[in-house]
Amino acid sequence: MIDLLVIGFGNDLRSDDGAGRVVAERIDGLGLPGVRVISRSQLTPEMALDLVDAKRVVFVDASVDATEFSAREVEPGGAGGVMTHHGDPCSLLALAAEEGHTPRATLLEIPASNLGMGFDLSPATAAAVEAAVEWIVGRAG
Amino acid sequence: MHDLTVIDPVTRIEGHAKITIALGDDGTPSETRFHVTEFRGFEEFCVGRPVWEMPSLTARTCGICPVSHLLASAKAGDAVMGVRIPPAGERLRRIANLGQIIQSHALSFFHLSAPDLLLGMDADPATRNVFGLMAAEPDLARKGIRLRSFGQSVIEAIAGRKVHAPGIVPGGIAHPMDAETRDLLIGGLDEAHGTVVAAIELFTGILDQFEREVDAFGRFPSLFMGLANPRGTWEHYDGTLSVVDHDGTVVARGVEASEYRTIVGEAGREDSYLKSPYFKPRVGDDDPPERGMYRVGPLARLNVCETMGTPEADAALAVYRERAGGVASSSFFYHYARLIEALAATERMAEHLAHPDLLDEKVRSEAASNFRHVVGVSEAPRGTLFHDYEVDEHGLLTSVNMIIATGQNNLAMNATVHQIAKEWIDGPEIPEGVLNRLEAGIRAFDPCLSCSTHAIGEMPMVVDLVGPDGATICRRQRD
Repeated sequence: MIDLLVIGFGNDLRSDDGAGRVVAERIDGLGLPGVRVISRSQLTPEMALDLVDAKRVVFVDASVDATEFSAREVEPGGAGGVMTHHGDPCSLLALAAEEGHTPRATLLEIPASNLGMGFDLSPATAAAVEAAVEWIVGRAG
Repeated sequence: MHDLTVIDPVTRIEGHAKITIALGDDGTPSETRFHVTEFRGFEEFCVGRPVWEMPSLTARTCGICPVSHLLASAKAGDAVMGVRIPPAGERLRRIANLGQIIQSHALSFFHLSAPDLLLGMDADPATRNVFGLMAAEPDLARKGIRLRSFGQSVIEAIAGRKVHAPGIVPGGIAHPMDAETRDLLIGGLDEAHGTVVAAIELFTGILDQFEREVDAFGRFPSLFMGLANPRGTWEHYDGTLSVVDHDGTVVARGVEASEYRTIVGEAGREDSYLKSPYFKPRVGDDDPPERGMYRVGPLARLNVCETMGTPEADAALAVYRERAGGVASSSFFYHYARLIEALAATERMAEHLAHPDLLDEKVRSEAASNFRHVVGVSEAPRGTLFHDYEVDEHGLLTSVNMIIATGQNNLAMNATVHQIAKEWIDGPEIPEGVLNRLEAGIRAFDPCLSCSTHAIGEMPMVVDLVGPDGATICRRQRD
């Protein structure tokens, strides 16, 4: 079982929306021991199997509702998307629970303001990415 | 009949869908529209970029079917170079697409549609979801997750984990497959195959319970389009375009992908960003595009082919056609068709993985940019996908047009929700079970509507019932 699973998700063609993936790829580049990184467009059900193998998971997502970087514990729950292909951390944790193990889970939210086509992050988002990387590094190992 | 509600630009953000049901003077649905937005602006965004970047770029438009965009884009790149890719390269591309078909169909059937099918269309929405399914059918739900995971592992073995450096490239595949990877994939095939067989048994066992849904979920005449090969077997990667009518009459055959414009037109609608492609030979200058309505995806592919080309899938196809009464014209049969395709995918994959040329080192052809206007086509899980590029002498894109499967089903999705509304709407209310059937009618097509961004939302669905005076008399919303 790995110590820490980092899952960054979002659309990295959509500027700030890809912030979670930028964080994931930065962490991946650090090669931290005991840390596994997944960078995806969206959460999908089979990722519950990845959660089952982790002691702790950190989800990193962009949020248009957030005004600053935040970290909060998340619990299994939710009903999943009704007719979409999207999952959310709580639903994924609930699926992992059905598979027999729920890791301690934290959701890092990165404020997002520009969701237009592009690769660049707006200044507030870029600053929050740095904070998120620091937050994860401080809890790895 | 009043004018339909027109969604304004503020509501036309990615990830939203809306159904407007207009009641006529007799109080029954007179017109129903499914409004949706799609990934807008992407084609313009690509102009000026090197064609070689396109597989990586386009694969990132969708988290569910990246391989479809990788393949269509890489095939357009093959055409720019004017090369034929090595046999092992094509085999690996085909395996990747089969893996994608398995994982995408698994998600559609086990996680999105099985709650309706197994728990009931009228079941409590609080439990009519994947968790309710976990509680009622834990073994099935777990197998669905593992099936999707298997498909994903196939994709990652060939296309790679990193979208910025994809394994599927113009000219073939970036890296040959090694024996260890091949053996790992072979090791997962038996379980995947067993899960699909069990799902088909389950579905065929409950199909008769949905007689009304079979009749009302998009059961109408339309055309069906898909890739076909000279052998008449089910095709998912290459070949030419074939179109059949609802009675099985072949109306177009052997149309080269590069000539798709001769049969496919695109209409815009004022109430949706989703374009409405239509079969051009059926639509005159003054005709509505509905005259050329066609469907793509699993239902169409099974109507277009003569056989699946593998023993178990062929046996399943024979039963399917018997249950459908020949050509399947009900969109409810998309579910069934998906399972048969998943079965064929496991059988085909076993053949490819056992082939002696699979591990050949030569998997990529290389050349400079030789041709200026090219089309790449592949069969995505939800239907035929076109990437139409024009490039300059340096291989930089000057024009991009992408025709996605969900768009091609747009006219049929509209007709489907109208048929459902007419069947179940009876009065000024939209009961929960009816709301769910409207959604399920769309779900049958497994549309990929909100791939473009997730931060904005998770596609809340709004259904408006509008009276003859234009006033909304009932609104149901699913957040």
